[in-house]
Amino acid sequence: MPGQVITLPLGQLEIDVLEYLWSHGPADVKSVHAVLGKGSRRSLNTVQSTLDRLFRKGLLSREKVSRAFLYSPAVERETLLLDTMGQIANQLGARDTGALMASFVQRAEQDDPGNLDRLQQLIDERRKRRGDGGDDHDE
Amino acid sequence: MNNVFDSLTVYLLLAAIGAGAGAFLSAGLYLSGSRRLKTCPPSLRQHLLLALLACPLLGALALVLSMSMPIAPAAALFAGGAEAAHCGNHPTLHHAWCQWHAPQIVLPGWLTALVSLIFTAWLGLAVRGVMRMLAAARRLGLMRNMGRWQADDGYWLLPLRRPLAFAAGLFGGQAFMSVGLREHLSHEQLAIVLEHEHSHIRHRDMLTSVLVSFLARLQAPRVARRIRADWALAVEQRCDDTVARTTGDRLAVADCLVAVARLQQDREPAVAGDHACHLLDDNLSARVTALLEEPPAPRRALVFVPAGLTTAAVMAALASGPQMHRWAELLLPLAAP
Repeated sequence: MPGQVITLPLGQLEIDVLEYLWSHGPADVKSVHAVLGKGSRRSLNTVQSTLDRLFRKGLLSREKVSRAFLYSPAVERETLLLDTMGQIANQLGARDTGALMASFVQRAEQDDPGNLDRLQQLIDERRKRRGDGGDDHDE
Repeated sequence: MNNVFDSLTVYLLLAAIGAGAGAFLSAGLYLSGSRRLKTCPPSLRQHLLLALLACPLLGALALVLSMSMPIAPAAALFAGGAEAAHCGNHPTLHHAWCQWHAPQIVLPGWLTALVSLIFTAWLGLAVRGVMRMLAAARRLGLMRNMGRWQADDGYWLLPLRRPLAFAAGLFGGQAFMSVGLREHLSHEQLAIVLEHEHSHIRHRDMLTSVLVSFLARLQAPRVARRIRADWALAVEQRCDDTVARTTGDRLAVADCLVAVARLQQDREPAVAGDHACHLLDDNLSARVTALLEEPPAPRRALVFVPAGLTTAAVMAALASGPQMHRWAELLLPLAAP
């Protein structure tokens, strides 16, 4: 989704629609409503307006087949999530993103594979010295 | 009586002078003591660094408060005299120069305008920062909506192949992990990663980071950058120590760090979302090296050092109120337009 900007967090129904289309492929409003409207009070109009909204946000594409629109995802699930994380980072600036997200491992040093090997070697040596073998780490 | 802008400008100037003095003091303390600081346990180190970052704010508050305390309690505490004794010394100049009650100085118009402009710009930037933070927090909702809640372990599983784990949210933070990371971790490593993230949440590190971000803006940029990086490292090491205490195996935690880093390295080059995962200065080596050593013995007495220093600084500023007042009386007429 190059250049696409998702303007707002998506609501639960929007996520449900996307999830349905990601797993089932292109569908028209009746097919989506048949699944997502079942057991709930969601009307056909609600599902239709949700599809329209997602289309306007650039998350769905559509083509007219006979008299109905066939909707399909314009963005992959993974791309949407990564894009959202990227937008959070851009919104806050590199340093301030830590104020919202604290990750287990940052990446910068990982660009040097030799460094990871050196660290692993240090751990193995320490483990050997401790006396519980040096080959039990997970690669 | 002067208009409110003159009083406000004087307060802002005082705050700026106090903040400058505090920034100078904390930069000196940091640069002279950063080596010793590195030997402190992470939990203590993070508090000491936070106290250093708070120095400019405390300096500003102390100076403003010291110049605007009500006369009666101040006189009773420090000067030993009554209001009459104080104001009687300069009955004719009282409205022009007395700083003791509230700033009464008539400043040149250009100075008032300049200070107001700078303060307004600073306030605007602060408001914009808060708005961006709130907007970003709303975006987190999208990730939660797309995740699957894992009730047993207390985290959101994200449908991502990229190996990621993080804690997110200012209030009531939550842990997130990607499918790509989970499927490559052993049960033990999974527990280590989650305990680390939950430790961030328990200590409200993301919220404290907002405070750190704000305080750093009052510091000299280069010093602020170094203190923030050290603070971030201390926070990570504190979480690592917590996990190590829980599992009883520091080497297992170090192993897990390297394993996760290696998984991320094996992925294709970064796309947008990756930026969220290497935001702070690199600290993997420092974390692993620290885990190879035994944790430093707790030095609880040092916890009182920042609190003591802060209290002493505020008290000194307050106690110097009468002296500042007299200096102001002496010097300000010379600068009058």
